[in-house]
Parts: sequence; structure tokens; C-alpha cells
Amino acid sequence: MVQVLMPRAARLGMHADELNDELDLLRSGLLDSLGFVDLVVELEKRSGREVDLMAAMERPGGSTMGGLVELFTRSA
Amino acid sequence: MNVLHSSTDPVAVFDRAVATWPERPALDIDGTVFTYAQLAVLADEVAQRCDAMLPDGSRVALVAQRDVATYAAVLGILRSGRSYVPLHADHPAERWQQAMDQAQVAAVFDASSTTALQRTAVTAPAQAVGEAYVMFTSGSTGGPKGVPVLRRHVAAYLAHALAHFGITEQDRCTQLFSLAFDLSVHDLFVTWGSGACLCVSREPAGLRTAAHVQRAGITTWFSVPSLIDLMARMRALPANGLLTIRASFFCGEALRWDQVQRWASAAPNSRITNLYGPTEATIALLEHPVVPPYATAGIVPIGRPFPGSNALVRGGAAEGELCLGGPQVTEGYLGTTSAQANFLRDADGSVTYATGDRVRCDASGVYHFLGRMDDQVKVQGHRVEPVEVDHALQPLLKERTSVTVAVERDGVMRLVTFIDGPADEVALLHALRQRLPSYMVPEAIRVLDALPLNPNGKVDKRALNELAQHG
Repeated sequence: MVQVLMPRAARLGMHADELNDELDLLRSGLLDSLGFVDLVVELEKRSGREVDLMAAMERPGGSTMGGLVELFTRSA
Repeated sequence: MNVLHSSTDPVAVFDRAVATWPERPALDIDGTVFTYAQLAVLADEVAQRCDAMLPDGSRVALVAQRDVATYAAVLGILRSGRSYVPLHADHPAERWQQAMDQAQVAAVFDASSTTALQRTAVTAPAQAVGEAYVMFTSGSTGGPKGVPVLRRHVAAYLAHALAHFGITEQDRCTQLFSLAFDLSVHDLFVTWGSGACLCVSREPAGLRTAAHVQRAGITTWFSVPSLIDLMARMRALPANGLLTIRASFFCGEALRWDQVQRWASAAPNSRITNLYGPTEATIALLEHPVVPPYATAGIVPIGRPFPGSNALVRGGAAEGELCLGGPQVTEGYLGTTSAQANFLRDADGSVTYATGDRVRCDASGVYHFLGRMDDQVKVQGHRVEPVEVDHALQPLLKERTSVTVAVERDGVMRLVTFIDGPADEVALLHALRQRLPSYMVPEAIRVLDALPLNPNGKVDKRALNELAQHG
């Protein structure tokens, strides 16, 4: 995920160590809604897994990096 | 017209609903419900504070948040005879200041602040008697343009909407638009004028909207069409997934037929209406009922003007710039801007607004949107003049020049800025985020040795569009 996000984070002047589990990808301004969906689709492609994004967004922390990792781990 | 709607001033329609349905829900914010009577009490408190602290007929900046205090403030400011100037909560402070300076606001209402209503240092606040709100849109001359909208303009919109849109006190309506977007005025006052319930999610429209619709039991939907694309990409629009919706309105962008197909499949019990109108003509002024059979490609017509309003093609041709007239058309922008020329004044004092939208009127009088006469684009439903990005960049570039273009990629409108010489992309993007709303910050800044020129020696935007299109 860091690999996918790093180019955009760099453009925004963020450092790699800021991309941690607690980072909320939406609230931090790193991604907008569409960018978030694009990220999930990209991660699905790379992992070969399909996730329930709607259900994920209902969980607390669903839009954090840690939340996304958990989402993909659960669908394994 | 229904007797209930004999006066459609926004405060009058709310007051009638309070008198008729005091115990019905007026506002539901993530499950916390306020009745019409409760909301009226809160609005009265704001009105009294405005009366005690502010000059009559002045303007109050309002930080657009999704809480009961802010909704009550819209009502209270209007009830006190003042006008509100919404400030998008996520916009940078510099953008707020530009709006407040232009509008010469007497105070700021910020529900998140302990004082809530605070006087500004403006010594001679604007007098805006009869005004409802000032909305700011992107301007081509370097800053946002303020559009003052009078209560009579809103009343004219509501007269049509309340009589013809079929919303009743049983409905539960979306509130997806920011209060800093004039389409939110439809949300608030068509809902309250009908005695219905305005259903608010604290989360902005986007990823959690589908769940909100189901949780809140939404029956009436109003959004920009691109929200359909976002929900579809989330796989949040399965067939029959939105069965409670019985009326759907779209506005703010061209509505494509493939979006209609998706929506009709997800919300099969809903009728669909395509609305069209710039902020300068108060919310919307043309409508097109979208009925089967649906086309599979292209965009939905923008329809016919509301009764009592006028639409015509400039110069009387079948195809050309769309001009609008009638009781919803506003008088002009705040201050002196070259854009005032878009408001054409006839000898009898009536105003016609030249929209800059290129349309075709077919033989049955239905208008079809063809594109823009200028470079303006819509990004997530927001009007954006790409040149405003270049104006914001110019002080940072010294002798270099920037040109911003808009390209559609993967169905999404994206801004890309080109600069003729070395530049620190990260620093420039950071600076732009301090000055511009997020939807106006380009996706990328790209450095070229020189900007391409066309045979006339002007910057070749077509070549830049090609470059932007290919990443």
C-alpha cells in the first residue's frame, strides 16, 4: 500500500514515516473519495482479493491505513 | 397552486411548516432528530442574537458545518432579515477572507466556536436588505465571484419546486450538498417547505452515502451526477439496492444516460428529474423529466424552463449560448468585475444572464447541453475556471508562466498545471492548498522547457491537453 501511496504522498510533501496504520487517508487530505476507491481497486488487483468496501466504511477507522490492511487480511 | 404555497419566501415556508407540523421531524442528523418546533426555537435564538448585535440587513458569514446549530443559524439569520454568506468548512483561510472582504460581512457564525456569533472588524458592513445569501463561484479574473441572491429569487424557485416536485411531509430528503453550494438551498427549503425531514450525515457525500441512504430511509434524493459514478465504483449501487427512493433529482453537471441506467436499476421505484441552472439564476431554472426508454449513450437533455422563466439561445439561433431570464435571475456579481457583462440589462430593467453554456434547442423546445463557450469545467460539480489556478500560482513563479488545463480521465475531471521552467512541485502544491479549495488544486504540476505555441504564437492548449491526457 505504501508503494501505491508514496508518489502522491511525496507530491503533498509527506514523508514515508507518516504513512502509518493510524493515518486516515481521507481526513489527512491524502486522498479524496474517488482516490480512496481507486486505491482499493488497485489493491484488489494486486492482491487478487475482492473486499466489501461499503461494510468497511461503516467500521470505525475504516479509512485508515490500518483499517484497509485489516480489510484485506480479513478477506484472505 | 396549493394554498400552503401561496407565499414561498424561504422563512414563510418554514414558518408554515412549524405551524402545521410542529411535532414532525424537520432535521435528522445521524439519528438525532429535531422537530419543527425545536428547530424553530433554535432559529429564534440566533435571530435574537443577530438583532442584538448586528446592523439591520447586514451579512453574516456562516461556517458551513453539518450540525443543528448551523442549520438553525441559516434559518435564524434569514428570519432576522439578514443574509448569510456560507464558507466551506474545508476551504483555506485565505479563501474565506476573500469572500468575507468582498461581502463586507458584519459577523461570522461558527458553531464550533464558543462564541458562535462574532462581530468582524468591518466598520461599514454591507447593507443587503431583501437578500437571502451570497454564494461564491470560481472566477476567471483571479478570485472567487460573489453572487448575491435575493429572497424573492429563492421564493420564485420555491414557488415552482413546492408546487411541482411532489415532495410531501412523509418524505425523508437527502442533504448531500455543502451549505456553501447553492443547491443546498433546494435541500433545506424544498424539504422544510413540504413538511418533510432533512436527513443529514456528518460525513460529507461520498464513501458512506449509500449506507446513509439505507440507514436514514431516504425517499428523496438530490445530488450531482458524479456521485452515481463514485457509488458505482464502490459497488454500492446493486440492482434494487435503493428501493426506498421515490424521487431523484440531479443537477450541477451534465447527466449521462449511462448514469441514468445505473441509477434506475438501483432505485427502480424512483422517478428521475434532471435540473439545470447556474448559481446566477438561483438553484435551477430548467427541468427534464427522465422517462424510459433510456438512451444508452450521450447526455440527458436539460429540458424546458420553469413556467414564468425564459430560456433562449443568444442571437435567436437554434444552437449557441444559453441565456436565462425571469424572476430567478439575479442582478449581478458583488463588486466590479468584467464578468458583470454576462448580465444583460434590457430597457425595461429586466435582466438576462448569459450562461456561457452552449446549447441546442430542438423543435419541441427542449434544450440540450453541448458544452462550454469558454474554458470553465466542472470538478465534482463545482465550477472551476482553470485560469484561477494560474492566478493563484503567478505570485510564486517570478518570470515563469503557468497554464492549467482540465482533462477527463477514467470519467473524472482532473486539473493539470504546466510551467515553463524549473519549479518545486511540492512547494507549489502546498502553497496552492493554502489558497484554493481542494477541488481546485491540480492533480499534478508538470515542468516543461517551454510551453507549446500554436501558429498564432499563443499557448497551444490542445497540445497541453494531449500531454495531460497521457499522464
